[in-house]
Amino acid sequence: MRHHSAARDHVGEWKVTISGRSIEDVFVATARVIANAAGHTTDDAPAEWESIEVTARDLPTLLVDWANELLGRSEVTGLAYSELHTVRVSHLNDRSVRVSAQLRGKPVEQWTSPLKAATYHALSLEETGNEWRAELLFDV
Amino acid sequence: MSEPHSNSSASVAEPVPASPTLAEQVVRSGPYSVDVPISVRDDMHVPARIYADEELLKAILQGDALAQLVNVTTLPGIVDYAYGMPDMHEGYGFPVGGVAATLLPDGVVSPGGVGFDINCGVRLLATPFTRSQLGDRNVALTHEISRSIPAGTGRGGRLTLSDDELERVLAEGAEYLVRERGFGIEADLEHTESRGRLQDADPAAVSRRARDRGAGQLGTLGSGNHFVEIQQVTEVLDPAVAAAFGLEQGQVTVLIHTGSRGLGHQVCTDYVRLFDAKLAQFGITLPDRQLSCAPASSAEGRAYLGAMSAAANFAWANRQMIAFYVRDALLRMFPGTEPGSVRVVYDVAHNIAKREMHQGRSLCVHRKGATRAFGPGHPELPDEYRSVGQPVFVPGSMGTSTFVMVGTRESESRSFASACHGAGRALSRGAAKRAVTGAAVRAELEARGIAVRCPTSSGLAEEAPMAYKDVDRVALVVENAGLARRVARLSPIGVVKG
Repeated sequence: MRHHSAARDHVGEWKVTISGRSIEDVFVATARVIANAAGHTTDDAPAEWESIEVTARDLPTLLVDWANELLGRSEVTGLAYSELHTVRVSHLNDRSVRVSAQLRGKPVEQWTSPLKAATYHALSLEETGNEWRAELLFDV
Repeated sequence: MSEPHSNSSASVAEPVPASPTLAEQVVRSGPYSVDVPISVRDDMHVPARIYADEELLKAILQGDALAQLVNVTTLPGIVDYAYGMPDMHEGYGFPVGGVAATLLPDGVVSPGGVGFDINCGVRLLATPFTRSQLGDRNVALTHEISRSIPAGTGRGGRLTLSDDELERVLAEGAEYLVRERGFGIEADLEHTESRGRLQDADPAAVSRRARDRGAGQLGTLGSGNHFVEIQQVTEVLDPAVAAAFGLEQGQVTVLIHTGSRGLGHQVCTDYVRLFDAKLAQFGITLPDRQLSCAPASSAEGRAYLGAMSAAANFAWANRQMIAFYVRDALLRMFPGTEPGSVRVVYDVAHNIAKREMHQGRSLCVHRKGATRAFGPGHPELPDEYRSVGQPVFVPGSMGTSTFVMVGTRESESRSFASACHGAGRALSRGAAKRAVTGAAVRAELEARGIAVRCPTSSGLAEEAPMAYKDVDRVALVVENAGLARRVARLSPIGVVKG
């Protein structure tokens, strides 16, 4: 998988641009952004693999809902989820979209993440040429 | 036959004038206010008004805050104006420093008008000690407080709540901690907005995920701009009101800034998602999805208000718990001190939506990064403050002043009795980190006698004083605009950052 993320200036909040070769790459990169923000992980072995599935009405909404699911799950388990596999984004018969994956995390030593939630504000997710590109604003 | 030709020539010869920008359509409506007239955009239901002088207005116009405030004017049921406070800056959906009220029962409630950190707010404690009595122990006290209160995000509170206990916190707020658990005294509740408990709270409307996020977080600061600051009163500007608030020159105070932690973030996340999906069903069209809303009278609107009120109660309980830890640290340092002598001056929310009566109307007042500022005589104020007005706290940044202000009668008609909530950010966190290092901020603060505890160096840089507007100017504009009056200046001597 090839993906990239970069923070963009925003006076109040935290804007991030994420790009990837595939739509799945964008979802993986978003998970890594959230995991990296959580703080240093311990040297303990990773926790067990977990299943995750999120459904939404369209792809941009799905990306925000995915990010929020990860933020909430991470805070409850105390894990930074940076390992993902079998990430799959699929279109359902009712025109909604779903992302499913297996993920596992490592315990965070000291939580330093400023991220409270992902927002729908100024949200974009589009395919341009050979690349998928998203812009996401987090409340911090 | 000649007419089309003539038209064609004209269109080439005369370029179409560019539409004026939003900023160009701002008109001054008073020495300390500017308006965006309702005619500027077809979807505006009311005009927008910003309280600012020229200097602050320049900063406000640099980002998207103005466009965001204009977007707020499109909310169904909004009345009078969408107001921008002098510390306003861009956020998402609502700007930070925005105030808007909708007419009940059918006006909308918007989670974006409250923010993710529901009932983020500040609580000021007045100690019985003077700066000279504390001496150089400000460093030890800062250290003690930082050890007592987990900072950062995630879990880690000293108090983990069972499901039943969390239910009581959600329903009863600070009242439960004081009356049932002994983590405070009755006077703390009298000096807390809404006595630390919103009666509309409906714990059943709070999701399992939100409860799981909150269960281990009571009594924790959280990250970002949250802090506990040890201060001294360095200037009394209104001696009579300062005396009513129990503040005097040289006194040591402690300011607590935090909110509802992950529990509140999840409540907002849950309901923004729900409302966003139901907008079409409600027949509502909005210029920004993050403004998603529901009629307050709808089942969904009532559920949000119930969940938001429960999260607000959690936040008041959180600040109550932190105040308990601060008192404990002070009592360890000054044995024999009566717990009640460390008084809560007041505790105010600055991210909340509340049902309030204004000029005979029942309104849902959204304050996002704005503080309620009731004037003298308001029946909701505690007896000791009713003749002077509600305390309002305007923190600057680490290293700069906090102003204690007092609400005015005029603010009722000027801002739904609201004032600003701080200095307001001027620089993004990234820009602040590029401009200064955490080590440099620490060195500068320590050179000025301010002790600092912060989990990360980058967190210090992000919250550096240079990242914020001039709090002296903001407080002065608030006063000149008639929203609140300055009472006292507090200067930091110790900072525990989240």
